[in-house]
Amino acid sequence: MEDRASRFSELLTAAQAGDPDAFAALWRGAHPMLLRYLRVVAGDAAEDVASETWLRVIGGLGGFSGEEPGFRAWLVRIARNTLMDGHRRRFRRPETLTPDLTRADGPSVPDVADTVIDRIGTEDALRLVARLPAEVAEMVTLRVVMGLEVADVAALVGRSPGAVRVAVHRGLRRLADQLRADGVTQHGKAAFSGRDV
Amino acid sequence: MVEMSEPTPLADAPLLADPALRAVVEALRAPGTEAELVGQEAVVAAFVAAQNRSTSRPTRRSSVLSSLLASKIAMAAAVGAVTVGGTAAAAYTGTLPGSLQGIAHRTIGAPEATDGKQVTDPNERTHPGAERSEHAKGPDATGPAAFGLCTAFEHGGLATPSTAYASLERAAGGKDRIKAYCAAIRRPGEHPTPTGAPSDHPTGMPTDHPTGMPSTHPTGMPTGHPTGHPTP
Repeated sequence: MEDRASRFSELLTAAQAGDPDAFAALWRGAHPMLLRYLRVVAGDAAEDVASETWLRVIGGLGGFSGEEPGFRAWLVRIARNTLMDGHRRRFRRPETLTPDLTRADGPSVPDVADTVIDRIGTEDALRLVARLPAEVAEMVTLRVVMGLEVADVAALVGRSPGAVRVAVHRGLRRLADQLRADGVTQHGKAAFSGRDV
Repeated sequence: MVEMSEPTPLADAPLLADPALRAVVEALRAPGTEAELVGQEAVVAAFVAAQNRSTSRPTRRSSVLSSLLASKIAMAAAVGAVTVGGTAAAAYTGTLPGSLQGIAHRTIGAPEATDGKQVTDPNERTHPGAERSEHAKGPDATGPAAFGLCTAFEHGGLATPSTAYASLERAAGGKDRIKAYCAAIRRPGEHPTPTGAPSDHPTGMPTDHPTGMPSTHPTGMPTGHPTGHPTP
């Protein structure tokens, strides 16, 4: 991972010196995950908040120093502030987030076990996460999608690192339970891939 | 060279032995899709505009808000450049998306957003080549549009083949003179320098106020005095 770290500082230095290509590379590296995080916590406002966040990042990039994990945490901090400033933080409506794909009783999904395990897309995965309690959903997303360290997540959400660890673990456990409850079990064919059955 | 779009490793994931959960996590961390990366041009344009601004005015520390707004103009620029070929043209003709048009209106004096409706001839948008023709009008750079055109010009958002650029060139009296012309243009809403008023407007009392009696005061008696006595 040293390569990645040195690549990041290279790009950061170049971007801070005004190199658009370096900035574009930083953006490509972080934006999709930022957008996914925002879709879980901000719903339909995600795109707007993300744009606003990047404008703020552009304004403050010269003042940032740190490694990539710190950069991601900084990004999330700005995104959260943007969200708060805009009063756009909305309560997530479960009815819009229920993933159709995991509806085991649906006639259009005959073999949900195989389907879900083999072909679950990012969209569906995000919907699943969004079904978790809001606070847990945010912590899981920060940890799993944004790839933040526990300490960074803790600082962002105002909890202790221990509490974050427990919440994320429980959130993931709950996701697994949900998948099982939705008819997705380890009997799916992906569970046996690479094994002698 | 490491591409930064590779996902960062997940430090601890004890639950990932569960294949269903692992599938979900992998989906969550999948590389960015084209749809997710669609805004790159706009955000890089905003970045470039911010660089230009900070290098051209190194001593001026702009507030977060003003740099934000300026960046939004650049965002607008990126959007407009695609459709019309000239940033300010897009802003002035109302072809920007509503939110960006609103920002352009507040910041560079462009017309207000019209709920998705365009305020100009839609041909200008669908036939970008037409703007070179004699029929293309474009904003009048000698009027209130000048500030917006100059803002776009200074931010590098004005394409040289665009109607807007041509208009600005006409108003300035030549390509070489655009910079000087724009330097003299003021932001809408700023008090214009009065050009017709005298510069030596009196501020105090007149200094030549008469202090004595008028010199033309009659000194003699009326000459037309009746000379005869009235008859009883």
